[in-house]
Amino acid sequence: MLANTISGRRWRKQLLTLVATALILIYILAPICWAIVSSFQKESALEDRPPHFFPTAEIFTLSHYKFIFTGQIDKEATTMIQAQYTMSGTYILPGIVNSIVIALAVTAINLLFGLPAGHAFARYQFWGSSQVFMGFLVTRLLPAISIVIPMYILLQQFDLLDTKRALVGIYSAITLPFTIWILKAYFQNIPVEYEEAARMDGCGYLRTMWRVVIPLARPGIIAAAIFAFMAAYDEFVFATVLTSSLNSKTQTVIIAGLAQGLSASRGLIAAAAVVCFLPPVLLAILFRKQVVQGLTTRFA
Amino acid sequence: MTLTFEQRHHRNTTAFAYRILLPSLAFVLIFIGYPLVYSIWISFQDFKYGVPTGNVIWFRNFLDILTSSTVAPQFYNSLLVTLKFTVVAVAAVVIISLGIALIINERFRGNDLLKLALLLPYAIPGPVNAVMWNWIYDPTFGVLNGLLYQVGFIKEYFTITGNPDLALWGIAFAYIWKFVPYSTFLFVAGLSTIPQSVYEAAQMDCAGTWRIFRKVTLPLLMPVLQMVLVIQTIFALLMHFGLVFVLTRGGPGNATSTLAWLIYNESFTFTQFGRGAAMAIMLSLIMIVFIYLYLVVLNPEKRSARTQGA
Amino acid sequence: MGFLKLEKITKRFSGSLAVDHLDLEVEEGEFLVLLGPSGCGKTTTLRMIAGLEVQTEGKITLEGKDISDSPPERRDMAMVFQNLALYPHMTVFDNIAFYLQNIRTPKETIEQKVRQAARQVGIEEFLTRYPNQLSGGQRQRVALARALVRCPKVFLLDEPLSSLDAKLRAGMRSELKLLHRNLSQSKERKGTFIYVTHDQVEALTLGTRVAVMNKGNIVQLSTPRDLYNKPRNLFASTFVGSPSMNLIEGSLERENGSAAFIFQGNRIALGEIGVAALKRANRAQMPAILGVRPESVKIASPGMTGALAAQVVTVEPLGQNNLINLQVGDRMLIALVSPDLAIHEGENVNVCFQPQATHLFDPQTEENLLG
Repeated sequence: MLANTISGRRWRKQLLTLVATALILIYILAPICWAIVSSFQKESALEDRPPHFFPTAEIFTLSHYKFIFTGQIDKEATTMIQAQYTMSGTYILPGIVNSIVIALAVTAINLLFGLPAGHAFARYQFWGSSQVFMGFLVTRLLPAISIVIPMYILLQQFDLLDTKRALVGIYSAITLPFTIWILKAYFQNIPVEYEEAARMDGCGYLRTMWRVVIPLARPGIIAAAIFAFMAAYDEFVFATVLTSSLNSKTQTVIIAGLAQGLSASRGLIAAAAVVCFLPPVLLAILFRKQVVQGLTTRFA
Repeated sequence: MTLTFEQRHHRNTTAFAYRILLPSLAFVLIFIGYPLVYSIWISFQDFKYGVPTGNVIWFRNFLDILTSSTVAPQFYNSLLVTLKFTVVAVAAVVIISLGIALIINERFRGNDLLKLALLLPYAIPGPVNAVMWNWIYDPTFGVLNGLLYQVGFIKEYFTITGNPDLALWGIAFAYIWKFVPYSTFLFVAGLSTIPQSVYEAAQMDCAGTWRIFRKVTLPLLMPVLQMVLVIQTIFALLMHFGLVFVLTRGGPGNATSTLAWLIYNESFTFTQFGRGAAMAIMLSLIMIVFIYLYLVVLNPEKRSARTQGA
Repeated sequence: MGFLKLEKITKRFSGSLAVDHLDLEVEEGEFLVLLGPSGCGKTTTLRMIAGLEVQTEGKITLEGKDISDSPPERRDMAMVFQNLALYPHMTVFDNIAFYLQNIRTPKETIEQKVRQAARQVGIEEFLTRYPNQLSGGQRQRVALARALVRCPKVFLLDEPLSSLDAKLRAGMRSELKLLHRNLSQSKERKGTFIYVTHDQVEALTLGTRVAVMNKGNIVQLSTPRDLYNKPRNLFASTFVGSPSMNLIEGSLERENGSAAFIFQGNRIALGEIGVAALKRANRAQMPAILGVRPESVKIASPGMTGALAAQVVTVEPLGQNNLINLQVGDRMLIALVSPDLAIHEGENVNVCFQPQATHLFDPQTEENLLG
């Protein structure tokens, strides 16, 4: 009866949308929430059946985070937990620092070289332009696993295994094509007249880039920078093969290793997971507009 | 031959463009191009304890992978596992993300929240995702067991990653969770290019919701759908590695030994670099089919040019 | 010696010819308009002068120096773009000051010059705003100020008024004209303007000279008055003037000392003009096209000798005059007449043209038979 009037239909549709949205939100958020909730629970509480869905006062603790950031263990902790903590937990923060250092270097390289390259592809007609661009696109999609073996052997020969430098180089090579690609698309959407006006106003190449192109392309550049950072921060295949010590181990390797060890503390792993995903998640949320726009560049 | 003024200018532009591209080209050629070529040479060699024996055995590694009694069964098993995983993961990602995109496209108040939430799985690093699901699936204290037990769905706690029949789907579920957002954003962008007036016209033509979806939305969304299918296939062939590494390490048995895992294991556990490289080349060949589809048949470049022109 | 000189300029775009061996001399202080339909190569020509496009062949000289190889930033020309291209991330002040900043002008000088330019176009109060906070007309002025502040050797304007609505456009047109007059009388550097448009009204009102372009070349370069009154060929005659010139195909014939234009059994006495045309072609009889502007088509009193019988098809009141569609034989003619004249649709009238107001073209070459 209701369904056959406009308001009835609208009401039903809204209800359906609302229910669906709630279900989707639960699906998306539940795993993350569980990691966060777990990270604030005492080790003993995590070994209860059924699990505690909310950290009540008696099971709440900050000790996992405290250990990650300061290396201090609660005095009342059992020797068992102390051992669990110290066996692998001390690597978490250095791993994240490594990841961030590497990702920042990769981002810088991407902007320094990828930005002018994307601009060149968007603006200049030159011999071989489309072929070279296609080449970049192909490398962006090639499987990492197919170069990790020769890379391992080559780095061994050059004595560059377990260095941040090697990872920065590889990650830059992997991310540059994507950076070039989305920046090219972004530049193409900016009317060329701004740059021509700048030329008429007496700007050479560098000044045109610095005063006109870069300010105008800022959203695209931010997106490209975030993608480069996240890709470098997330990378696992190369990192797990090419690193062996805290000299270069990234958070992806550390946390994957943490979960392997049967002895690791569950609360500590959960806290480590949260600390590890915070930098990229915060970036994505802070710059959500640019990220979504960048992801969907080709359809915009 | 003397060049015209314009030709000289064009030549200068080309020289200038390549000077700008040089660093990027150098990175890609040194860190991707050269290793790629080098991997072919590696695949022709025989390794023992991670060191080449000096014997160049040409296509022997490839032959072993395809025919020998020791490696071939593993390889075919991995092919099958990869195929199963890819089909299920891609299908699920496409269906779920399309569904979410359609809801977001309804333009109601909650959809900003939905979009924000979707960024989280996208941004969470693969191995961190794996660790999160490892803890959820935990057979002794995991929240999944806990929940199912609480509601009476199961009588005893059970293992997912330790069960050969469930392990792959456990991985797939975690994978799908992380990869749905990316496709969703693509679908939302695609849906937003369909003008509202088309829906209104269809409504005036007395089409029902399902018919509008089948006859209007889906055909107009086809280009995006094709692209999502191909991109997701390229992703699914590879991006599960962190999950397999953390959750099952290819097991139990070799129930989750995908090609990516097999290559890793062969190379870095058994240090059979030659054979690993040969397998990697074969995986690359499979990927190239999809890359070709993506770049040539669907051509994102031309497509964006066309939409810009419109 | 020309101030700015284009010699045999050719531009090919991947096979298609945009500009074809174009020669042009621009004098210092003049306002030259490049007028033509879209695709005639006028914008390409302007962009080649600016250095934004590189000519395939030919040479461009400015004050006697070959500038073909100098990049746009070294040519000392200012350009107003069709979409204005105001830098959206800079304030109006910075937009105007950008050039001066680029050539490292002292701060106080910049301040003073920017204010002066802004005053010239009346946007002083908007200097701290951003372009997207301005109206279309204000943006237009900013774009002008950006060029003015530089006192460049040449001002290049690419359909600068096309983004404005009709009313604003008329206002800006007069302001531009005034601006040019002031600049061309300046002592130091006379303002030289090159202005691209497809709008003939802009061309005729603004230009000191107008170059009509078609298919990559200039078909007529003359003062606006000559362009209107002495079109050199069919293209110029039809492109300029609205409504467009009436064209009638027929033949020109000598008649005992005089000459007449014959078409479909009608005879129009042309007197000296016809004689001159025939003499010039050195023929006694030739096919020709007769052109008459609508305002030169007169409604004659009945029974007048030499008049054509016509039927009024429609009368369109345009306000200050009426546009009459007339049928003469199976030809349509357009006449612009005073609204006071009582003419009704369906009525039979006589029309005549004054010989001085007619133009004769060669159907083959499309050139004006009187040169």
